[in-house]
Amino acid sequence: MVQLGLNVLFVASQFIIVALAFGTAYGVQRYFNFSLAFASTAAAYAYWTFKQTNIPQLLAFPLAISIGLGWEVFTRQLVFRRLVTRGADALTCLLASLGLYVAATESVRILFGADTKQLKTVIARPFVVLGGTLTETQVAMLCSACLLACFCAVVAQYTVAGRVWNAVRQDSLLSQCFGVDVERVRTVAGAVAGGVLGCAGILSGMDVGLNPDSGLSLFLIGVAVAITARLRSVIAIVMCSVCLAVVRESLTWFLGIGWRDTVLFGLVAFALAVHSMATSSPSRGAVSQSTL
Amino acid sequence: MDYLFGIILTAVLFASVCQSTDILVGQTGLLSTMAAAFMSIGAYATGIATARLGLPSVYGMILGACLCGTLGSVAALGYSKTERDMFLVATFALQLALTGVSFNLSAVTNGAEGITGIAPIAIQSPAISKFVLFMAAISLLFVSSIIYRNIVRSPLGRVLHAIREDELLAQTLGKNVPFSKLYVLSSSACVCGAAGSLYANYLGYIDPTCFTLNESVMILSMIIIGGAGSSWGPVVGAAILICFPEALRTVGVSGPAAASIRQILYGTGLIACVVFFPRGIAGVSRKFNLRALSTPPNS
Repeated sequence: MVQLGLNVLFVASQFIIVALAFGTAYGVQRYFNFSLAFASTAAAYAYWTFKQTNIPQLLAFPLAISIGLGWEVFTRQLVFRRLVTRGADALTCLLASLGLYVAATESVRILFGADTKQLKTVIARPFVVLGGTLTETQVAMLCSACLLACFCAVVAQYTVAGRVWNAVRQDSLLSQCFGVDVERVRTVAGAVAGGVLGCAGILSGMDVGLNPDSGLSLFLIGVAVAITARLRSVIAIVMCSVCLAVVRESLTWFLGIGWRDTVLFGLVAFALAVHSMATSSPSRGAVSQSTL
Repeated sequence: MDYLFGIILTAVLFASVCQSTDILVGQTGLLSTMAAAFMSIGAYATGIATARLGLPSVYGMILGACLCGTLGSVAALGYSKTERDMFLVATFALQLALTGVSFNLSAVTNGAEGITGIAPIAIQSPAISKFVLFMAAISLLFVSSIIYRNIVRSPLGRVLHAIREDELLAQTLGKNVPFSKLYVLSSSACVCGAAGSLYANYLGYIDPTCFTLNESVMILSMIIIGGAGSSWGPVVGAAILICFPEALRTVGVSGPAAASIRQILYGTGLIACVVFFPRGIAGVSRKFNLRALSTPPNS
């Protein structure tokens, strides 16, 4: 039971990181950007390549994250900016991002193969907590989630950047009227999300290995948590992450590890159905409109 | 000859799947990545009915189509109020969840090993079986065309167009939006299930990798590249995207690399269509026709 609790903690921390990253981008971009899923994969594969070429870890980690970040800026400038300028709706952007994701992932499959790669070759002594164990990667993920949640809460509340982000999230047209460069905010938010997802991708790859599709799982986790939390606040995202982690880990504990992703995707579908039904009632619909 | 038969049959089956899914994508404006999941349900129903229960293939096909129709109705009820982008993500998640179920629910699906020994549609001789299978595929394409035509030309078609343009306005005008979505989603699912069943009959086996998210994206790409909202666009899209990878074999690209290259082509085709040709091949052709009509004869 202690181990189940520790697993929940670790999984919740992973959920928090990806949900905050997804929320940062989705809050201002307003479309499901599947190319974010590839940012995570790109960073993890870049880290693996740097490791193969014996680049020191301290240099490899930021370099790999910057590749995830750069991918987001690149796709924004190449595809999405053009689409947004032309007045394309969220669905068109989503379709383009899906095409980008598929093409990029398959390119990785050709370049690196479809097999699972291990980012961590040396297994360090695990941390024993109340009889349960946590690996150092899991501890790193836990610390990263705590730091990121605190950072996001502070930035969103007390900094100019946070206020600008919030303004664009609430009403991009009005923000533009007040002189905010909305396109720049969207690009920066996407880049930050790409960087954070890249970091999550590397840590997740260190924990369970890496394959071309691993980024999609992370991205869908972000979608599930962000939709359930309705992007209300950092606290809401943290709470939803913990709840979803409890449900997923409990079900996986009883059904077996093979059901892990199935349970997750089932939860995403269920969260969306619940979200749909919640917004169908007029009174609750009004609440959801105002909070989103 | 067998090779050519396989390509044509696959193209015909995917054309019917694309045409039925286009009722959702092109007419209603709902992007769905569940077509392959519905096909897999039809295929597994046929596999279980013929290889495990010893029933004729037709029963498997009917069972698959009914199951798909039911699941489509449930999905339509669950996501009737969902925004379009979230509907796509929901179908994405459902597709992945169903693939996971077919991998893990070994007692029913036999896990990663899949179901082998699916009986052909007619057991008299291989030639007759192929002929019957081909005629069944052509009939399915004909049925999906009739469904498409009837829906588009009926009052329901106008309601679907209204939903596509402005769902809130359609609702305000008193149109039954949830019922319309339920009708089109379940009818599309039925055709996909029947196509999956025929495809399983052709392959003779079924495993979870036959109908994954890649196949769903491929179907969506066929519709977008061919031209969503056009009766013949998705059929042309299906024919091109089924035949093109086969052309790669002639230049020596085959195996896993060919599968990846095919996916890259689908992805880039999707981006190119979205950015440069939002109406696909059908839209380009329509533009040329209009230009030809508007050009004075003496110029």
